[in-house]
Amino acid sequence: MPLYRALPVLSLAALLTASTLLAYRMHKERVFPYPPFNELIFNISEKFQNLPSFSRPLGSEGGFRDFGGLLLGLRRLTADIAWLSVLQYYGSHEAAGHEEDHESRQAFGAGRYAALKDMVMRTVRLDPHFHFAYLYGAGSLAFNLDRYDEALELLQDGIQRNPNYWKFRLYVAAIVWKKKGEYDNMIPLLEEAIAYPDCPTLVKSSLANIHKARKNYARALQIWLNVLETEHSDAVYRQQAEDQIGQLRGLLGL
Amino acid sequence: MKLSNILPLARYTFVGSFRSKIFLVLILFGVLLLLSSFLLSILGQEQEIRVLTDLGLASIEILALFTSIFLMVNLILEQIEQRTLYLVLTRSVSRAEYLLGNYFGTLAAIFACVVLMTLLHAGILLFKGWDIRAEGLVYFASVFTSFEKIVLVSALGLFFSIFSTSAVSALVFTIFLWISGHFAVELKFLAGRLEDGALKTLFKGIYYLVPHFHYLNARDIWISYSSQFGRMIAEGTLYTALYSAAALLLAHLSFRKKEF
Repeated sequence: MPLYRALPVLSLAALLTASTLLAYRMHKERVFPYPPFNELIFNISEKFQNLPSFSRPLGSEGGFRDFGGLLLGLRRLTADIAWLSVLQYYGSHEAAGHEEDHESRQAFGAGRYAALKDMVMRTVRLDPHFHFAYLYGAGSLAFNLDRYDEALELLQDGIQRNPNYWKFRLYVAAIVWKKKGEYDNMIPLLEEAIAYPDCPTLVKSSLANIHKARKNYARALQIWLNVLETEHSDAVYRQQAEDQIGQLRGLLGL
Repeated sequence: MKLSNILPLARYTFVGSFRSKIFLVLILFGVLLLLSSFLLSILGQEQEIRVLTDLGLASIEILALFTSIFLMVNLILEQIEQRTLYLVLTRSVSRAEYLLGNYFGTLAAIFACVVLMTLLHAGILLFKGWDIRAEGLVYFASVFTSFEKIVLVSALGLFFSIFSTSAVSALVFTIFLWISGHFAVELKFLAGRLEDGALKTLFKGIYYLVPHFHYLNARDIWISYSSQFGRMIAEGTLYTALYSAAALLLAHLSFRKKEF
């Protein structure tokens, strides 16, 4: 066969070899920074099989949707959708007959939200670099629901998968102090945590409530003013901040 | 091969794409999807910008994917059906020039569509208070690597449309490769779990052979490899060029043996 006729085939072989070698190099040099699909949490509602379907945690079924998202290469968006399910679940009333209470955000945390940790875990399995999900989940579990061990489990998972993200360690320390009831040690850590822009408003509101309970009205007022200034997306928090600011100003005689 | 033959063909295909109803419907759908992401992202509360960014980037990529697959798969088959192909090939245009002209013309149309959607999306993000100085680099790198995926999958789509002669099977093959390309890393994981044998070798072989789309997801790899980000983009671009060239060459080899 003359060489010019074999040239396309030879070129094809060269291109395929070069691209495979490059793929091999990329594969050898870098670990794909996500857990394999068998670590995904497919069906949280399995734990709630004994409940009637309408009582099972909202948005807890969706493992196959997650898998489909990964197949299409939409990992972050799939994690976002799982995150919206967490917000939907934790933002809805769990306890039957519980009336909405605009006086306090605690109305939303009035239930037990048994699936909360698993639902946050499902989100961060999809995207372990979703730091806010870890912080929000651990903050809700520890400061709203008093489930310290679950909060610490979540943060340990976060530390294992994001060893350089030091803020998780700050939250761990604060939660451990709260668990021991040592508020004097916990408060400085939370004060440090709320100074960062990626701190969930939930943690700010928890700290403001702690200051208020300890009669440190001036600091509580400062935090609520900060919430009002920085929180633009959640009307409930804004309403709560406005109410608290009014109350605290009254207490301070301003 | 003459550039003077390729360019008019590419220009003709580019203009022709904008006359295609499928193309216009997909663009309209993309714009609507981006506008709806504006509303959906509100549900993300404190993570509104993240949700809006991810939803928009995914919309741009998926819309560009569908546009490229539909256009590429129908490109040659439609021209055979309408017999316009014979007219061109009777001129002094080689089959390779014909293929490249059509390929680059279609890619140019998709690129214009991606630019349009990106501008709209970035505008929405800026309106929502997005910090372009902090996140702009990753955002535009993500759009760039998404387009690289489209370049690669378009070359594969073109090959399958010539190789399979049926639009449906070409469509299925191309979508299958898109999915397996994103799932490649899981194939490697599965291979690692198997005991040595034919199946393990097969899985490993498939892993290296299918396009590695997961390494072209800039938004996913940025956080872990930010210090090597430039190198990763460069390697991804080289990989796209090599793989696409191989797919185009395969398309050419199939096309030159075709009798009309």
